[in-house]
Amino acid sequence: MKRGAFLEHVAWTGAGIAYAVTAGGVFEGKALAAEGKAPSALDHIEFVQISDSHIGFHQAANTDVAATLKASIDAINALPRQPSFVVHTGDVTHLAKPEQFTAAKDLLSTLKAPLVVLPGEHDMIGSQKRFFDVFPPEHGRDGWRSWDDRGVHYIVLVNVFDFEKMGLLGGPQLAWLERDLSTQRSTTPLVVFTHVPLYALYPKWGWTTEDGVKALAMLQRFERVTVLNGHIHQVVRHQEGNIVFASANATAYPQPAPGTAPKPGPLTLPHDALLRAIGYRTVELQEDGRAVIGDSTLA
Amino acid sequence: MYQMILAVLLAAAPSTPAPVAISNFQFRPATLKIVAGQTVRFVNRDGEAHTVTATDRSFDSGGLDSGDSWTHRFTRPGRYAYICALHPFMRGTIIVLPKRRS
Repeated sequence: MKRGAFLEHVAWTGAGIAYAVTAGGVFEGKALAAEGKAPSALDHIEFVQISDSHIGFHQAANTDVAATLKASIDAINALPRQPSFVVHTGDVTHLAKPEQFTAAKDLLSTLKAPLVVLPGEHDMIGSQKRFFDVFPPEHGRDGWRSWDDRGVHYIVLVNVFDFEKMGLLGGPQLAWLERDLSTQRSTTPLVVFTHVPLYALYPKWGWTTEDGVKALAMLQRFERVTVLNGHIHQVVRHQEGNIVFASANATAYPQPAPGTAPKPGPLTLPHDALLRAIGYRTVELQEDGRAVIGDSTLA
Repeated sequence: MYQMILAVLLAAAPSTPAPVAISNFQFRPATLKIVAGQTVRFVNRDGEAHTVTATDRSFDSGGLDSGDSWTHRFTRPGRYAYICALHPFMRGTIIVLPKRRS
């Protein structure tokens, strides 16, 4: 389905669309809540992804980013069954100011489900300490980590540490990833979270991870890999072999589609169009490890 | 005596900051020549946040929101490369010349 058609469909249903990746790598959309029947995807939501809240942003593209984050949180809290966790894939704040972190944490702490937070480059401005003071990683001091939950191996990668080369994983993190994956069977479904896209989505705007190919090479032997990221403030799906990529909408404001504007940056839309371009993502994991991704908007 | 007065005058001269505009994801001018002791004023004229961050970390504006400005005084002669830490493809250079050529 083309992006234009996708947006149109979301506008029409006002609810969202669940996507499944078929064997041929084609995404099939189905409208949620169509015909008054509860969609099966909502019965087995494993986790929810939100991203790019940019607390502290106050331009025309969204004059109340706290309100749209809160609306996303309220929608997640109202899900019929709470997910195992909610992951925020970075840019929690706009300028990494202490009061922005405080406001963001206050809002995020109202989530019913446990929270996993990755830093984005906006959260790293000036210092990497502030983010980790507010959102200390559960294991290790580096920010990257992994855990197992119901047969799925989850991995958090941080590709915003190097302010000169973004995204970049760096040697120590790649070495850790290699060790981490060495103990996993290739049949184990993997779900990987990053902030900046791990593949070369649009390098001209910095929407790539310079050494991402090294990580992807390690992931190739696994049968089911889902890589979810933020940073680009829009839903973009992609597949390479067994690896499925999906960039998420922001909770704050959209950015232009790659190549449709001279530069990236906040895209100002009429208010109703803004609400159709931001929101949250539900992910259902089928028994075979296949991820069914549903992007819901605030419209 | 005359030299001394000149030196005092130069040191005390409240030189106007040299401007660098940040607009359309570019530092303008991308290369700026100043004299040691001079101040540079960076103004973010974009709708997006940016930073002015030296690649050697010798200075860092922190986050500059739309409309924010930041001034920095360059005291040591040299060539200072800087980027926007949010958009590292944005690059600029400040060339600081010695006050007096020998």
